[in-house]
Amino acid sequence: MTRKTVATIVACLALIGIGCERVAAEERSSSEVATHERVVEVAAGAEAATETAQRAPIDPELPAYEPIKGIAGDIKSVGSDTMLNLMGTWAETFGNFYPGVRVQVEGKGSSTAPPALMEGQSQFGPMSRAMDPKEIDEFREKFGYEPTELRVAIDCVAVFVNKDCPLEEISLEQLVEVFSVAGGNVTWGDLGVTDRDWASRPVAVYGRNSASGTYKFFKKMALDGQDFKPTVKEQPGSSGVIQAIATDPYGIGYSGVGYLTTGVKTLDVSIETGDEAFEPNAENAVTGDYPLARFLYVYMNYDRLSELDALRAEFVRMMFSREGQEGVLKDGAYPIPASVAREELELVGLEPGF
Amino acid sequence: MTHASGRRRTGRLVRVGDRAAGVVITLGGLAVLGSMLAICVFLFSSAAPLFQGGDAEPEPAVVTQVDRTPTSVVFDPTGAQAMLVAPSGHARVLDIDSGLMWGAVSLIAENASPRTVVVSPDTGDVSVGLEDGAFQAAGVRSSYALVADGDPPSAFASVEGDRADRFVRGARFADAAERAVAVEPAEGGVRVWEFAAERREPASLGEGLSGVAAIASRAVSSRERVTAAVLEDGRAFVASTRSVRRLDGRPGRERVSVTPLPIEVTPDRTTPGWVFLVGTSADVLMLWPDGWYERYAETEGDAWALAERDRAVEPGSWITAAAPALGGNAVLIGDDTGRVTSWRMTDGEDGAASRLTRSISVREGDSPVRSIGVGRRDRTVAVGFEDGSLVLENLTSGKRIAGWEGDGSAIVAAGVAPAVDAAVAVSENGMVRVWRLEPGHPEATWRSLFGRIPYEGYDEPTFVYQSTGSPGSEPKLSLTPLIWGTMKATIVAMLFAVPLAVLAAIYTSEFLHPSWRKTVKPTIELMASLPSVVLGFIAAILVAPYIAAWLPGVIMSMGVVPVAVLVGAGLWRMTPRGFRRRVPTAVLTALVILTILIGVGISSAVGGRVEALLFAADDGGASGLRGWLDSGAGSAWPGWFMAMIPPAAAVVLAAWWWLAVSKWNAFCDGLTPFGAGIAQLVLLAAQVIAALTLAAGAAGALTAIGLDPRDSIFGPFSQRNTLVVGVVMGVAVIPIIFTIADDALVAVPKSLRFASTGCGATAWQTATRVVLPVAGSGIFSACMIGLGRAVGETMIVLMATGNTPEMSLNIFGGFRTLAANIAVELPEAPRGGTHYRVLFLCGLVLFLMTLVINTTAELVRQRFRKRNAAL
Repeated sequence: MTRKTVATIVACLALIGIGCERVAAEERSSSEVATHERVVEVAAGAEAATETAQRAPIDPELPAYEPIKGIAGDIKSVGSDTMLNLMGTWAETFGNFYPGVRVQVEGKGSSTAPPALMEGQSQFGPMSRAMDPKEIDEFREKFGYEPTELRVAIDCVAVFVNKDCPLEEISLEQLVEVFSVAGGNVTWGDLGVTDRDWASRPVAVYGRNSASGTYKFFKKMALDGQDFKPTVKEQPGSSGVIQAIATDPYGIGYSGVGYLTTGVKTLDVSIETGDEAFEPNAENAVTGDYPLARFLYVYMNYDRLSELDALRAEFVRMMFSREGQEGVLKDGAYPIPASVAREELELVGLEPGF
Repeated sequence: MTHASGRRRTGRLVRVGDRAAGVVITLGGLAVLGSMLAICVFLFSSAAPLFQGGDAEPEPAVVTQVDRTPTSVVFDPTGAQAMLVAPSGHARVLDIDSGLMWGAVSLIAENASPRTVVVSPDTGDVSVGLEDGAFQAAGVRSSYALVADGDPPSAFASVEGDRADRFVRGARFADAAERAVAVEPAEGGVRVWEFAAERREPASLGEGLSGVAAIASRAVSSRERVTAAVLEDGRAFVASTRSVRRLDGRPGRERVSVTPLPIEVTPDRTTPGWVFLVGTSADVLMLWPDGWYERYAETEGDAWALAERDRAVEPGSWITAAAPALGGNAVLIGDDTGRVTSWRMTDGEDGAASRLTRSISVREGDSPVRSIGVGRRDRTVAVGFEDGSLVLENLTSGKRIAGWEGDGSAIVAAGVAPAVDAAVAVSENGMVRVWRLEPGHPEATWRSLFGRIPYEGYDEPTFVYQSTGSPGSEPKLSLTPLIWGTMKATIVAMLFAVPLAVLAAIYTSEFLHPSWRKTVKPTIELMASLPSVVLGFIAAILVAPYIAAWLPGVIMSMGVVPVAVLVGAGLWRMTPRGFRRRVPTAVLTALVILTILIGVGISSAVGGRVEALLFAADDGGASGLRGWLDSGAGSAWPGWFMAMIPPAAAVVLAAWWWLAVSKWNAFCDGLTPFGAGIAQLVLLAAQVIAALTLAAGAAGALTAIGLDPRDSIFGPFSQRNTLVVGVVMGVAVIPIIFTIADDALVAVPKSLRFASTGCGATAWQTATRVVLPVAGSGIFSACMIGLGRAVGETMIVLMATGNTPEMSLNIFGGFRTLAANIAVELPEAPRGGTHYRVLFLCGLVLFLMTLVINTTAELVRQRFRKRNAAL
């Protein structure tokens, strides 16, 4: 009997195996090409990165971080998914300076930051949008003061399409058609694609879940506050959006520009169809020419009548140091000007020293 | 053997143990019941406040007097201070808690003479129409900070005409034309309030114009502000200000363009009482007190044209108050009969021009409406009446939040705090009253949670679920799309799982050799131990792309595989009887699997060709099944044909069963095994052809009467669709249905089977006519328990769908279930808020659904059991 059990299980596994093998074989044939291209694109990507670094240099005024003695403890950060990588990078940088500090980072969406801050589950609340008045109200009601808002980086919300998509630019008007209830069924032809294979295909729309700050930012800035269509497929994370667009050739979606991978590309964005479209990059973000640029924020529960504890103070100092802003560049966002850093450090009672 | 009784007494220990076990079991049972009840009560008590009204204090908390009677009330974002704006452009700051009128700022630029002042309640932006045909924008920036006591409040430094010597309750104040500052003692430091007027330079509409009689201004996007101004002589202009927001704090570019409206000025044309910018296109709406309105819309280029002229109120009625709704898309109009109506733009049917329509109408009282105040954050309106009464209402849900009786003096300005915890009314006699209240959950009513609501931006009342939006947008909380999604997922999963699981149970219990059953059953039960998150993962990463890539083959295999198995059975029947007996079960099973694989192989091989045949591209349009689904073009026939095959097959089989099956059996009995096999194959072929013909005919008929399946069960294809979830969730519930159904079948007494086979019935006849009816109750409850599991399934749905709260029958579209909705949104819902409670309501609805299903299952089972008790 045991032998039969084993035999049955083996038979089942074999069947599953055959099935998987087939799928894998199909994928392999297509991925060979993809790997090839990836090599090229990695090289191109590296060039692009250095180019961005040249165009968006870290403000020379920002000082290098100087660690002090006697910093240890636990830091927890709960909030934005867009900033998950960034907080992770900072956690690593901070850990390198202070081996006795443990930093935990959780990123499920900006809307999870205020509740976690209020219930004392986290010391830092990264958010990819500014807090709502309602959230500030709730915080003020509980503590008597408002949460402290630090602008830590500049980011572009980019519109992503599959790398094979012939489209190069899109206007905010068209984004309203594609994403909001005000628009109807949109095909790629409606967006200006003339390729026969593409023109009649409907646009498959991907977006973030409603806990996301990027969701709210996009709704406000790109859709003028109108609702998303019910057919926008909500993904729980930025990488989920990118992954979905990379596998769906007719997909379109939005996410922080730092999530760019080889399977997708970003579109240049104009305000009205026919206007000049701008590429999401540091320069266009700062000048406001790229219409979907924003700050990334870190919130703290900090009473301005007291002094900031050393652990958090050092983390804040690190975020606004040369090393911290290098981390911002590394994760695809853009560093902030020294003037902003100075304002924010003064806000929490720290001496900027530059 | 002295004791002849032979009965041994039960040991004391055993009796004690027995009793203890009894107590423990009873307690355990009660605890289970109790905790079930507690969960139910908890869910209910968490959701119940949604349906309760607000709680308002009947007496005003603050009563004070103001000299220059204001016409608008604007709260600051914290809700602790309110600004009372007078027609002269003079704004006074009122502390809501103390009633102290502590500061005053002027919103008018120096040397400008205001003619009209209009305040947007949502942003606090002020637009001023000037006497010389120019307009001026202004705003009040209020800030609030806690600072250490030692710091000299630098806020005072630049205030001219310092009145800092005034102390009230320990607080210090200062105000000047453009700034007002208060420093209030707080625990450990001081709280600094500052109101600073930001006055822009006046912008001219043109040379030599008369005064501005009515003005409206609105930010149509984060980059563009539109201002509409009507002059005293009747002419009107639209000015658009575009600006670019820079992130480094430096001022961005700004561009103003002015366009005149095409109005022919005649002597009898009066100036309108109000002007608004409505809809997403920001059309100019002019309202006259006698009830007429005119709407001007932008046409091609930058030209404007009259789009509509009509009445907004019944003839004989007068418009007595009007205000833009929050966000500015809609306009609220109050008339002299005490009615407030909400007007918004809707698209006409079949692409007709959009027009202004009345969406919500609320009758509040018999006294004329005098003022309408709009909330800063949600759709709350404060309506003040001629008789001095005030009413707070949520415009989206229509829920009345609070109401206060009047003192006879008309309310000329009304306002409501951002958090709806205070309301302000200013009477004609200069009396300012502030009421305190607990708003409850104004957005939630039975209608907004389960019914259709005419939301802004939607053409007709719809079921929508979109719980979180940008500040200022209406929360849309209809649970109907979620309940719909739950049912859709469950039904599709059950359609897939029940036939497979029940037929498998019949096979293992009736036909499979018992020694094999002992291994097969635990193996399938092992499938139940697969965590649903793993299944969800497989569904999203493997199944969904596979189905999308091989859609025609996958659909075809649903028909081809059963036929292939039947063909295999016919071939098997052709072999000699002796040979069949000698073949071991393992080989037979392998052969069955082989036929299934052959079926799958055939489907994927010819799927593409069949697709090309059925869904050929007409002329350059998208080809193939997905093209047909997505484009909505092409004939409806192939889709109907596809959809009609299963019912047609069912009809053919039923007809065959009723009409000819006994004759056919008698005919086959007289044949050799080989002959019988051939006959069965011929019959199968005939049935398949009959079913296809019938399906083709039905599809033709349905197409002829103009129906298209793409309006209902088919629709645009999305990769994460109902079919994927149905299949994978089916796999998740198959083990549980299978194992309970199998137990029920095995539990049928052996004597019944022996009696049946003893009478000469075949194994098949015994199974279908004797065992199945007896085990029916068990199989039914197996299905219901599977159903209960499918209804509450979360992870598979969460991962394998796009969680799109749509309401369609489309099996290639997505959906969102109640359970997935709770999982997605609970982390973002602030505790105790409306959204949080709505999620608990989702839980309660889900709980009730499973409760009803399980109770039905149990009742049916009890009935069957009673019936079968005689056996």
